[in-house]
Amino acid sequence: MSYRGLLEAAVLLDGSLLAVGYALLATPLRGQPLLGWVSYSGVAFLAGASVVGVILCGLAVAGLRIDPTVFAVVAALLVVAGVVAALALPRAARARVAPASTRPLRSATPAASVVAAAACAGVAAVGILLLADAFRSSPTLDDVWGFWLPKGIALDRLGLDPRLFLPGGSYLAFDHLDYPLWWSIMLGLSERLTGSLDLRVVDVELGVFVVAMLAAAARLLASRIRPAVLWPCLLLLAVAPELHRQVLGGGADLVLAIYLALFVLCGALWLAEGGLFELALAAVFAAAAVQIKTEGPPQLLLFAAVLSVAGWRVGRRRQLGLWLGVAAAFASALPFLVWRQAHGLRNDISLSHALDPSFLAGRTDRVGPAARALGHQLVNPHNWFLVVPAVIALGVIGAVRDRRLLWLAPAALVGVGYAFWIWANWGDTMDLHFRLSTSAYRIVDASVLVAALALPFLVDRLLPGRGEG
Amino acid sequence: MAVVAVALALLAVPGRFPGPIRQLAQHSLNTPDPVPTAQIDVGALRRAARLVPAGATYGVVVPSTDPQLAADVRSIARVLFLPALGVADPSDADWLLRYQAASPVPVQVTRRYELGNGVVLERLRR
Repeated sequence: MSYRGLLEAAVLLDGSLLAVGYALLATPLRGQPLLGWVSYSGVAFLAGASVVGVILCGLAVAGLRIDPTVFAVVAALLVVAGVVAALALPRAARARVAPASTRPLRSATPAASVVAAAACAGVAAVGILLLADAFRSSPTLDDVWGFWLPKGIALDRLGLDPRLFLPGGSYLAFDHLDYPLWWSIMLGLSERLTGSLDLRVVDVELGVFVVAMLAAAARLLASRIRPAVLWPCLLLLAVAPELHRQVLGGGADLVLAIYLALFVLCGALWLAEGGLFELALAAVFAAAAVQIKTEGPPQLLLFAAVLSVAGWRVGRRRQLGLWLGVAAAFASALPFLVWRQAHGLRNDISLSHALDPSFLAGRTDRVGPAARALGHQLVNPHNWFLVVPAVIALGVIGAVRDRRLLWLAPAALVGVGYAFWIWANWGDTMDLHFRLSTSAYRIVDASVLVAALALPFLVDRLLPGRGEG
Repeated sequence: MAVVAVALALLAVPGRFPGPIRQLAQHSLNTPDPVPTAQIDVGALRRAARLVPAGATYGVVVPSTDPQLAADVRSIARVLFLPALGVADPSDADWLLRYQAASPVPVQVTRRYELGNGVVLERLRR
């Protein structure tokens, strides 16, 4: 079994996305030591992938075939633009967008150092294993070869061809025509760069995105959370059985969840600290979330609303910044949304049904089963261990201890995600048992990852000794 | 270095490790092909895909008695046959893929490829 094509595709595609990300981060990171740049690799990769994917989505709507040549030109232009900006902008302008705190916190005791080092090594080992598994596994979710990958291949070979991307003709159009193009474009490019149709490339890409998320979360939290708390919490996420199952499953839900969770993290950091670097990252991550699946935009709005309410004391400037970031993300999706609207493509889940009280009143029997099935996925220790229950419990403990409702913000984020999916299943017309049995395990991903990235904050603030290191 | 060494050892000889750790290195689906629910000869579909040129149209005929098989064959043919285009009506097709099934409508066949396992690809006259 040859892995050469898979490896070449990963190096070419993901290496290019990493290079673009670093070029985009060159302005804020200029002046950092080499290790500082290396520590931003996860952030750079995810930012580069978001921006390149968003631009390629626009070019697909404009009529271009999204092949490796177009990808290479876009990536090269972005690299040049990023480097030129970093070199041309004056120091004062660069300082305004530089990350406020980059120095990782140090462990206060030798024992804490050992715990942090062991957990960090564990995260690294699990990341290596995850990638190796991805190279040796074909995806199990039929959506992958049913529409995600075929759409990408079609965008590469034929472009946004109405014979395949619009219904009603004599040709067999794709399923889920309402879905945006971002993830399909990534998969189409991966497949093309592999040199042959090898579906394992889907798992490889998912593995790379998950490892990048762990690296990005570690980087963004390292200067804010004690290492003896941060690394065990990240290890808990890295070894979650459901994370591995979904990487090998191949669905887009995990990538969407990664971007939504990082949007929440960066949005919360912006509201709390006011750093433009985190605000820019929040907007970039939100832009990808809007363009991966149709459920991205409503979840993004809900999460932003919870952040906004939780940070109601921070002042108008930061609130406005958060919502400008969200608006920019939506604006980046306009080309596809306009194209979709112009061709009369509607959401698979009817919004008019989901907002119609009389329609909903006639199908209340769907609420209970949906709530139970989704709740089971959130709290089942065999999926994500007890990340979600722990976040809720720690939030309550902190709120009681400090008499501050802000502690409950992570639980509220999980709660709105949970309520959104109950509502979506309530207003849906598909057979509920089929819908839940085929999707409940993955549509909760965003809520779980938001909780997983909030967990280190809660633990760090509850444990004694905060501020010693 | 120790972490990398342990990870590589786990990949090389997963059977030597305890069950829960061994699961991290599972690789039972190590194939470039789709892994459908129904039992499908993906190799035969790949052979068929190599014969259908880009831009041609194709129809797929599958047994109506097995919805899972039918859905899996159609979706796998879709990903393998691109950039050829699928059509709903076989009479609109340049090529017809018959997966253990007969054509539902009369077609004029100019060339037939027996691909094994009851999988047949036919070049049609239009």
